[in-house]
Amino acid sequence: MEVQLYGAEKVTTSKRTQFQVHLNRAQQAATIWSDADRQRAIERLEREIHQVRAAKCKLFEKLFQHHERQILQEVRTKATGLRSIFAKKLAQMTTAAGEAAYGAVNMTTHKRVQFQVCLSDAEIEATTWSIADTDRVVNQLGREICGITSKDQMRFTKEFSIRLVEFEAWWQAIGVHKLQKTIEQCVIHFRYPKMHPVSHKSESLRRMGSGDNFTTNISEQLHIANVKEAYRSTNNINYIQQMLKHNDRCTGLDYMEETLSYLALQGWYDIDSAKVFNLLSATDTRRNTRRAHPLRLHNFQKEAFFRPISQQVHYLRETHVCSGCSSIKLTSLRDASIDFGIPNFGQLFRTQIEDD
Amino acid sequence: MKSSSWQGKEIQGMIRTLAVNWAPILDCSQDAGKTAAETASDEIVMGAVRALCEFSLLVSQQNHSDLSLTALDDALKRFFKKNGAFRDQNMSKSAKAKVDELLGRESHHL
Repeated sequence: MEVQLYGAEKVTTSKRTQFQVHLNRAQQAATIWSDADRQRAIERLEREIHQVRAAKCKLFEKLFQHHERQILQEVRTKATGLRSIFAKKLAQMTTAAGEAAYGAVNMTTHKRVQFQVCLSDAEIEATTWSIADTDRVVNQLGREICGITSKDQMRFTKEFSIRLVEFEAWWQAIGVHKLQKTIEQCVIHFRYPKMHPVSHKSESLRRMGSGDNFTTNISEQLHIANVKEAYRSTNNINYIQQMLKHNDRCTGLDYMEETLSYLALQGWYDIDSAKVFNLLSATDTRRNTRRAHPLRLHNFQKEAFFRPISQQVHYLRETHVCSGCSSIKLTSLRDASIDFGIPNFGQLFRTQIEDD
Repeated sequence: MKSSSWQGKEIQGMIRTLAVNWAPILDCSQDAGKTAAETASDEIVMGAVRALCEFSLLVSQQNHSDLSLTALDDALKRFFKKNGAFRDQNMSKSAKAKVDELLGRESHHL
């Protein structure tokens, strides 16, 4: 169609290649955001937003250098990283110098934000390649390389759109769309084995009842806590017994936690259980953090700050741990009466047991 | 949503939010630039999503009746009827090449 409309000599292969190369180059050049472009945009926006003039700029540079020298002398060998005190002071100083040079009215937070927004907008605008740009460059290159006038180009576009519509209509009339759909249905289908079993779900439910707990969530979760973590806690020798013991202890601890949480809700708790069950307010939680600890020591507050949200009704007594002690040796009543020098020790012991 | 693994838990979470996320994305009334074919396709997709969610919800019930099982069958039928809307997403490069090849061969007979 191009040959028909423009003539064969205007759209040769070499000219097409040249056209494509130039188009690519133009697109690349138009979507590059170099440092020089950025600097230019910054200067323009500074002029527009912060009212920066050459004289003011010089004043700012002078102030900035003076302050920077002072800070460097103060800091000397200390850290000068991005999050250091030096960096913070430098940022403060830049703000102060900016305000002094350009005036506080021109350096407000709102104007700074506006500056950043405008800069990002400028970058987006400069690196965007729209359809209008393509049309413009194509027209220009068509004129320069192929020698096709704008009028001819417009005529070609109009003719091309008409022919496209005609072709679409013909394509539909001969039934190619229907054929394409049929072929697609044959080639791309959803008859996978994974999709098929769901069609038997209803029948399975009728035959075998509801699939209660049909997910593997519970067993998978228990495998982590009861098997994996338990195995990691063993020394890999005789591990089955150690794992069983571990699970037993974990169950015991869970019961203890449940009991303590129940008691805490009833108003029975101490400082440790209050911390564990989140009974402290947000402020008090912050005051009891590890970071706050040195500050507390500095202010001579040795005791942790403790003021629970809910009122404490009862106090827990200190627990009495009752368990077997390996250092205690078993002894008979006779040996005990001799050892302690009590002749009627056996009689007294029996009376005491009967009384209890 | 990016996820490295797709196990039962992830799929369960996806099913919970699927219809809620898809409905606004496919809301045809908000977009004036859509063609009639695209709007119809979106409606089919939403129907398939709804059918899938209903099926998932019904199948995980602990008790069933004739009514629930009929609804289950109905949801499944609806899903299988409408899942053709996802054909374009499922079309790989090789499948597309195969379709083009077959179309080129068969269109000569028209």
